[in-house]
Amino acid sequence: MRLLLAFLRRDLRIATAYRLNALLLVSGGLFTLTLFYFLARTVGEAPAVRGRYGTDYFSFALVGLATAALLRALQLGFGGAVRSAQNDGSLEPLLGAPLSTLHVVTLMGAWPVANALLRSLGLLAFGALLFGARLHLHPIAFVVTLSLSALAFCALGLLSAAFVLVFKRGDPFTYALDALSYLFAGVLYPTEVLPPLLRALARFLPATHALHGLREAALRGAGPAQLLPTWTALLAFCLILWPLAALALSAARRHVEQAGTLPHS
Amino acid sequence: MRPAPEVEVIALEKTYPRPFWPWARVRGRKEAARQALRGLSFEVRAGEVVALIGPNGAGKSTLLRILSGLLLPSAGTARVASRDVVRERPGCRREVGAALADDRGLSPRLTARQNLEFFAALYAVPRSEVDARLHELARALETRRLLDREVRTLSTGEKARVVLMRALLHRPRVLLLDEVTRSLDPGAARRVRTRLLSDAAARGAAVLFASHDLAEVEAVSHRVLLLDGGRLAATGSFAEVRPAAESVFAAVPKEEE
Repeated sequence: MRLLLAFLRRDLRIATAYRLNALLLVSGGLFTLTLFYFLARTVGEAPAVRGRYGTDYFSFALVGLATAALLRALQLGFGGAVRSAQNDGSLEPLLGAPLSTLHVVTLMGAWPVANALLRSLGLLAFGALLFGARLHLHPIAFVVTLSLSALAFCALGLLSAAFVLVFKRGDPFTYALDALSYLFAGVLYPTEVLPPLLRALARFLPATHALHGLREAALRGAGPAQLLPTWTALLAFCLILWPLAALALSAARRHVEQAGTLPHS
Repeated sequence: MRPAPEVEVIALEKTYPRPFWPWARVRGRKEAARQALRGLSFEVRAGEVVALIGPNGAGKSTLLRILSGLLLPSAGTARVASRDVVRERPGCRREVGAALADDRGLSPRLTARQNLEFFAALYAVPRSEVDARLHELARALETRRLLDREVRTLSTGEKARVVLMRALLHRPRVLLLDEVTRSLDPGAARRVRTRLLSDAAARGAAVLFASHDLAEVEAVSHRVLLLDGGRLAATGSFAEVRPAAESVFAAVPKEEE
């Protein structure tokens, strides 16, 4: 706990040292909401959305955008933290600490994760309070789905960090997953509109299950009984991805320590 | 019976592999594998201050990085505080305080104190002791007036002193220093090395430091290791090693004009 707080405190101090950045993040969120508010008014009634989730397009897109922003931030946060440490030279002293690589990189991602959670919840709150999104929230189901989704995506973020540790720039894994998630996981349209083959493929993306679960919990008030299959799928992703991430980080560390490229940026 | 050495290196070798060949070819690079250490063996005992000297590329930084747990050797054994640097990595790193060449590991937007408190948590320094240790180190390294300044406002020499504080904060059993006084003015360098090395040796820490400053080496080291081309060319007191060092430095080929 002391270590977690030390990382959070350090990164919060650094983040608040760049005040304009925080202002731009908030205004960026409001800009996105305004854009989708008017887009939803243009689209009008969306039968596919109404039939599936019983709500309007803006509320549907709001949960999709908040979830996608969170998942993308989780996926990029760990690699971003590693990249930033490579650039400012702090990676070597951090990895020189008496902790495992998985432990250090996970802690390095603590602030990006906390920041992403706050931003996504803020987006939902602004959407509901300022733009009239209709949320019918089951709080427990929402929190459990959010936690399982975040865990699965943190593992993907750690896999991405392993790439960054070795290749420094350019992470094909995250790029591919992000593009596939936006295309097939149902961020801006329900997966029901996809052809059957693509819909079947979408089930192999954790984002599909995260988006479905969070929409069910936030828009229809679905409880644990209805969300059990989604939770099982997300848990399965966690059980596969976390050991994989630990192995990838360990292999990446070994590679850079053999090649002598750890201090390189 | 003699106590186990704090640093024990046996037949240590390090070869940097050649870049992945298709990628190197695309980029037009023709780099071969580079052997940086060749069968190096030596020991450093508790309380001993040992200097590493040698021309550029002799393997000093490579050796210090291996002992810090930041680089894997290709062959041989290295133990720090009786722990193998490959098989017992986190435990080994706990016993090491390292200030390596070109160390930039301080967050520029934080104060020196905030940076050091962060590393104190990382090395599990008891919370109740952090302030006292910072005070003690700041006095020894003449950094009291720097502690509450943002790192980005410090000069290179001031940052080097904060990096030294970071290396010493958790009271390591082995101190590894790579040209740490290079960016200090001569007076500060003399005071810092005298206090730093004599304090470390007095509390029984083993110190291995790389330097190009032969006056510094003569002043503070108990023993000198002369590296040349990754091999141990000579070892002994400064006076014993000096003739070999002079011939090694004189033999360094100069770039053709």
